[in-house]
Amino acid sequence: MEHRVSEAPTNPHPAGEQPRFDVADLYRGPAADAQAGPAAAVPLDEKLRQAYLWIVNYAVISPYYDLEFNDGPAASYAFGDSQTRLTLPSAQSYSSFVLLPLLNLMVRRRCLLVGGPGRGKTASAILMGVLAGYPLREVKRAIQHGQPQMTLADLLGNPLPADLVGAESMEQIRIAWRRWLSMRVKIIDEYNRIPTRTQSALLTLMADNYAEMLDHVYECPEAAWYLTANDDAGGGTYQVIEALRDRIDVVVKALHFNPRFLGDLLARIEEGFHPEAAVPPQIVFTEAEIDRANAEILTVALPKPLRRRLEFFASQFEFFEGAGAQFEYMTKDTLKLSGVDLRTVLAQDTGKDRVKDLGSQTRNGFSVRTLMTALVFVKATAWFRGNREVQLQDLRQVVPFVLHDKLAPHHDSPFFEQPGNAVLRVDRISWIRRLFDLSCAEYDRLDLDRSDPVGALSEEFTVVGVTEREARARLVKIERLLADLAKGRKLYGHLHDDALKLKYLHQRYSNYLRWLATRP
Amino acid sequence: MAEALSPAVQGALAAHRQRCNDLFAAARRGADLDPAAFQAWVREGIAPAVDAAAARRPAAAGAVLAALFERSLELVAQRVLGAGAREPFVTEGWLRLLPALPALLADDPGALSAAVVNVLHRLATTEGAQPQEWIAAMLRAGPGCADQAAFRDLGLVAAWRAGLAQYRDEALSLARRADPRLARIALGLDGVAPEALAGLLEAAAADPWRSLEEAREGPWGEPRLALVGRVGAFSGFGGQFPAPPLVETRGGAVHARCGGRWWRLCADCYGAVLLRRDAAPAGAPAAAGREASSVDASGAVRHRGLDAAFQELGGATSCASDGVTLAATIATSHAIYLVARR
Repeated sequence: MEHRVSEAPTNPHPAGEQPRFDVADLYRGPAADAQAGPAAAVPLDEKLRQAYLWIVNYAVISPYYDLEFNDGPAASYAFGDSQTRLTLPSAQSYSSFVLLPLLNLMVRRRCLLVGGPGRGKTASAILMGVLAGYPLREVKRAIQHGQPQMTLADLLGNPLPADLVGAESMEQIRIAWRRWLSMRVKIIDEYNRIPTRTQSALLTLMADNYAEMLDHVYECPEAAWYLTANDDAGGGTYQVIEALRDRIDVVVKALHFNPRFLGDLLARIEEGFHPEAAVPPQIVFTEAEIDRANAEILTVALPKPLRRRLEFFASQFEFFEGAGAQFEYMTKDTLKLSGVDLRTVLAQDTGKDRVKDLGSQTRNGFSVRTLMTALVFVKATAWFRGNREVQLQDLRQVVPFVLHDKLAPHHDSPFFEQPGNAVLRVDRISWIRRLFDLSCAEYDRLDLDRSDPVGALSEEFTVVGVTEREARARLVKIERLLADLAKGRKLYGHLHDDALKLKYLHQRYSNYLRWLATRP
Repeated sequence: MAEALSPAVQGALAAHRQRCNDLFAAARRGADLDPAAFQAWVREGIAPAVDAAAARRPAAAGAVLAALFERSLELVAQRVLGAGAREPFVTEGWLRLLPALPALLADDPGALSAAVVNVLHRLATTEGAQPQEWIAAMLRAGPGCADQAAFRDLGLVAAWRAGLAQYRDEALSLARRADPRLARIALGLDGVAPEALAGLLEAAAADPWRSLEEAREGPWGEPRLALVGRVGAFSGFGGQFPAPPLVETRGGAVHARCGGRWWRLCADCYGAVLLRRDAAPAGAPAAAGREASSVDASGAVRHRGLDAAFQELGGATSCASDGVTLAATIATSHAIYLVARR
């Protein structure tokens, strides 16, 4: 409803250019008016913040601010024997359960909502459909409800019966595709109750954006996906196939209901209030607006020092020294493909400090797709906060939700045996955030913002217009740097990636010199 | 006992019952909305408009009810509309205009109600403006408008005539292009022949301090300077200025400043308005306007080649001119005095 939407700036920033006099202002005022002209249109990030505030104020009772942002010192208080701290953020902070599905709507990825029954997972997904401009009834009809009898036809559609009888070739069989396939918001309720065979068809849809049946292909539009699961840890009727899990970009937990808000719930019951039926039109996004928001998000800058921190963080996990005799094969992927148990190889102790080695905490690294997803959600968060450049706290707050299902913890790691760390076996978001903090601390200890010789050589790299003498000088620099790096007694993930980068540069210059030598 | 609602309103309410109830429930969560009072508003403020639209186009009843219900919730909660409204003219305009414009209402109830409310709210919150004049003008001119665009054009013309001087140029331009029969009604010149309107508009355009009515009466006599108005007031009484302001000419326009804040003056014979600026206007201040204009300590004014003395301006602290209007301030008042040739 229109007056429910914040009219004041939702996250005020310093005023920019002086507003110009506009006669259309006569028709702007307390009554929201679509005909008042384009100047009345709010920026899309502001519109999304309005949507966020409307949802948390009126639609989903999620009185949490677990995505904490600060613009100054934040007070905190330690509670209980564990001395867990409750922090009072100094800048506008958000509920992950509301914000991440909204960001997912803008970047059109795949969001998994997990949590116990009755916590608003499906309601939240329905709201996203309404915010994307679909009538409530259409959104509800398009929900795919996972259940053990769900067939391919239930999911995708049916061949027309008359064609099945009369057709002489597959091409003659027309398919009545299900309506939901054409929608820009797709909701799969309880996806872990879908039989394995049907999950495979769903995988094709989610991964490649098309449906296939009897040699016919239906190309789907780009869509934001919302999947729900009561228990994502294997409690569904069917085990979710790994490839399907891998396609989920962000995992959001529905937090518990705080009984202190029972009054709100009571009022809702007494009034028969259905928030999804009362979404204000001015927070509904058109297809073009979502396209534009997506384009705006991609233009948000990721400053180079932050990119380096993310590179450093990402390089901690895939490396596994005991997995390869050759440098390139020292990865957890090699180990996984071999079928050898991680614990068996870990028995070959290299004397490395396994508490300090962040890689020891995971059973895997993460993929290029995961990194790309992280970049998109981080940019979307910065954009939502009204910034045009990513901040470190955007990375710190949002990356754990992207890596939630991607980074598998190695629970036998001695890290988890350290005092106060046992809880991180259970609280995966906090664990990944701790990993990120530890990675940043190591990055600062190594002073990589100021001294990054591998980075400097990478930036310097070019073979265009480089003389033979210069190329040879660079090869010497690379070899000297490798020799320096090799002096360290222990090998860690970031060092492994640096060494491989130097090998790459060495090869490029060597090949260039060979080419120079054979040139007529 | 309240009169029964018409079948058209009852049917529309039944069709939109769930949504209306949800909207009301949502509205109550953040605002002090009394169910009985709002029900009374539905009966008095919404039902007559729905009946009028349904009489013109029966199929539109549901859409009109839904749009006005939503609009009302929004505005009653803000105390812009209804019995508890801060500015009664908005409610008066809604109650009188919407049922009087059934065709426009049936076409786009959201747009029409927003236009009526927003213009009246602006007029009602502008010092010296006359919202009742706008209501009267649009009651006469509105039914002749073919569509929302025509209504809005005439609405802007009538708003200028009712005191919003900032729309003067656009209003004159629209009045020249509009159907002369409707334009003269919107301007309060019902008795003027349509073919005479263009001449009156030219005369008004040539001198902001000559009203259309005066132009109709014929040429003025000997020109003289006159105190034509005052604008601005102490912020403690709902005005703009916490202290007596000063005026400057910048970029050819008169600007007022006070406590680091700036306003642009727009003034003519129908009204004077101070438009708040977020920052200081560009350009260096001019000592006077395009013509030599001054006020001395005794209140003697020289402007556009004429001289006059005004006791009120004795001890003037600043003066500025845009070439047509001279603005002056004094140390003992929060108002800006306006002098013009008459």
